[in-house]
Amino acid sequence: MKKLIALSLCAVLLAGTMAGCSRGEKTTNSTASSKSPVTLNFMLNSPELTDQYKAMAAEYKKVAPNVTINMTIIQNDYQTVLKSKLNSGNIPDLFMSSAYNDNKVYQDYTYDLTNESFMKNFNPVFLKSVTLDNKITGYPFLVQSHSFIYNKDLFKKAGITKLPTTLDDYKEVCEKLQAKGIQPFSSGFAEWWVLPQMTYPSMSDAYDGDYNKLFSDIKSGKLKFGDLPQVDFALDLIDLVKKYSGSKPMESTADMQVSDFANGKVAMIHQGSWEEDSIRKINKDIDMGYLEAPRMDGKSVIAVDSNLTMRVSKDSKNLKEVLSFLDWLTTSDYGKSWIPEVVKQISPQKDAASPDTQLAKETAKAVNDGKTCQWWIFCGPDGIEQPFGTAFQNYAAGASRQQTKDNLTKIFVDAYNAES
Amino acid sequence: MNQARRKKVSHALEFLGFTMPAVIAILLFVGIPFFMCIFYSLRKWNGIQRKSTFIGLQNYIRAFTNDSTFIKAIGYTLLYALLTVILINIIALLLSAILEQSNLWGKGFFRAAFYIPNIISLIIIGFIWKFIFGRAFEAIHQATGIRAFGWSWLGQPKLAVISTVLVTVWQALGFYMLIYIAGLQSVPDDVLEAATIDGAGKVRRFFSVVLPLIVPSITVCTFYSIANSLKMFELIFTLTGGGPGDATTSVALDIYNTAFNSNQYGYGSAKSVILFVMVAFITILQVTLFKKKEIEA
Repeated sequence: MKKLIALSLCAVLLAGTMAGCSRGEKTTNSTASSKSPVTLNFMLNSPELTDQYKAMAAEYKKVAPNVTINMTIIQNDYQTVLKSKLNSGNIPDLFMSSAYNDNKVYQDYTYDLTNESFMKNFNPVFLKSVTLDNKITGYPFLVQSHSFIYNKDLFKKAGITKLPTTLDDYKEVCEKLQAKGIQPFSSGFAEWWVLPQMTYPSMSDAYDGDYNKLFSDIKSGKLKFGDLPQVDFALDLIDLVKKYSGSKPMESTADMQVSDFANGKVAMIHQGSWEEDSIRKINKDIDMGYLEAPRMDGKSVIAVDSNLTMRVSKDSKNLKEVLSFLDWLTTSDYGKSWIPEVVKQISPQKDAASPDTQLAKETAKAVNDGKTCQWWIFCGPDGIEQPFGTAFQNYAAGASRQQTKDNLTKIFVDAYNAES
Repeated sequence: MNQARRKKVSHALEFLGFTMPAVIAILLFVGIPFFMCIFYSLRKWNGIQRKSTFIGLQNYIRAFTNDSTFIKAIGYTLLYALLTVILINIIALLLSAILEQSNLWGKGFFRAAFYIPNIISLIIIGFIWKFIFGRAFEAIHQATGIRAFGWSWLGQPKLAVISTVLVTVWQALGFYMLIYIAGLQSVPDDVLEAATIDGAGKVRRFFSVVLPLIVPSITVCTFYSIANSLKMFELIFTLTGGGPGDATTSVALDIYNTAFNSNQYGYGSAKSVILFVMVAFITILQVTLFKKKEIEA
């Protein structure tokens, strides 16, 4: 009996290795059979778009049959995997990253797109985030937005007719919702990125929006970040959201936010346009919209920016093919309609069609009304997001205001010291 | 004489031949990265750019003098290690003694049941318990009204520390029980019989005869549990993410955050060298102390 088990185990293992072999052979065969075969290696994040990426690659195969696009799509640890690939010399032909300070982080590896003709098709507003020293270092991929998302039906049920725009308004709304037995927020505070993200729009009036001056003053030591009046305002906002987030505000993750919101358990969450699809997968017919985040100066805003960026590797052997792929993605009919119609988000290109989703429409409206802010925090030094989030989490979990402010100040000092 | 020497040489060669594959693998996957880590710990590097600058011991100085998160992480890690090592070893020894001494029906079943959590990946354990502490506890609280289930087990800083310890103990128990059971089985029956004839009761027998004889097992178990708990990463990463805030950030998680989230690879390397020294110092101390207590039956 034991022998039999051992034998069958061996057989399974052997079969496994052979399966591995055969797969390896298959890919080499298929590329060898076409005329001048090229395989482009793409490294992409946002796995919620996997189907859309695949549809796009299949469409490109029709135009350029000799090009095979080999996509690696991951979310968790994307940066870590990308880093180890870059360091080991196994550099993908095209990879995704954030914009702003990632322009600098990846500058040793990225091809300068400034003189490519297809870059003229972009709305100049969305080229700001990928520009470093007047050079365009990346291909803005799509426009995303984030703010408080609310459930319109629940608001109606609580008899709320005027949408909140100030901190006091929000408080009133929360009380009205709670009176009807509806939990106002799901906080997302367990996630280090949700918590600070919630505060960014509300702090966007710092230095009246002159973020370059803001960060150069912080860098030179003229300003301590913790001394910004907006920090106090952000902490007030955290207090408010925490108070109205049920009994376990510190345990709410992004997944819980989405499911609680989609199931009508809570009326508001702070999330972004990227979650609309996940929400609709749970509750197809939910009627939702954006609320403008409150600010000290009374002007409420939604954060809208093009942050996801495709970067072309400078040392790619297939540079030409990658560029003609991007050209196709920008100028062909399918390429132009891919973002609005297939991905269903807002395209950073000029005169692009509007997507047919609720949050995207509300974003477009906010853009037209001028009620938006940049993702300004990314104008700052590299690598502050996570410590920033931890500092705010500590505050929400009970650290004092002064401690939090000192902490925030130190995060920026450390981050600038770490830059060489 | 000559033949003896030749035999010796061939013996050495044979020894080398057998150990070579392991030695090469360890050098390749542990040795080289370790020295690279020391190399980078002396430099300022963000982990991506091609150039890095030599800054001497500044990373180490910063870790000890100007980084409250790191100091806090060391504090948490030591507390976590202390609690888990004590709880794991006492409970594992107790359970295996009970399982061994009694002729309980279903002995094998219990042994397997305690061991099962150990074969599940720590990442998955973390996610499962996150769900239990969050959604499941909430449901139990609503159904029964028992106060403890309504607490925020992962959201309240002090409770979160306890939660990480509890899950670790639950998960690791089976492995240590296995070693203790093996140790208990190796205690010779004649010694126990002699003790019984001398009039020793069950408790006396356990503390005066069994315990001294299984010190080797205790050495191994404490060594493993200390080293594992000081290096803990996966479970905390998925269970609490180091939170709320940095209440459950272990040194290993802080190293990960520094190197990969804050993009300070050189500084992260310095922290991991510090962790290495810490683990090495504590475990060597423990092993030498325990080795002195070992006796032969």
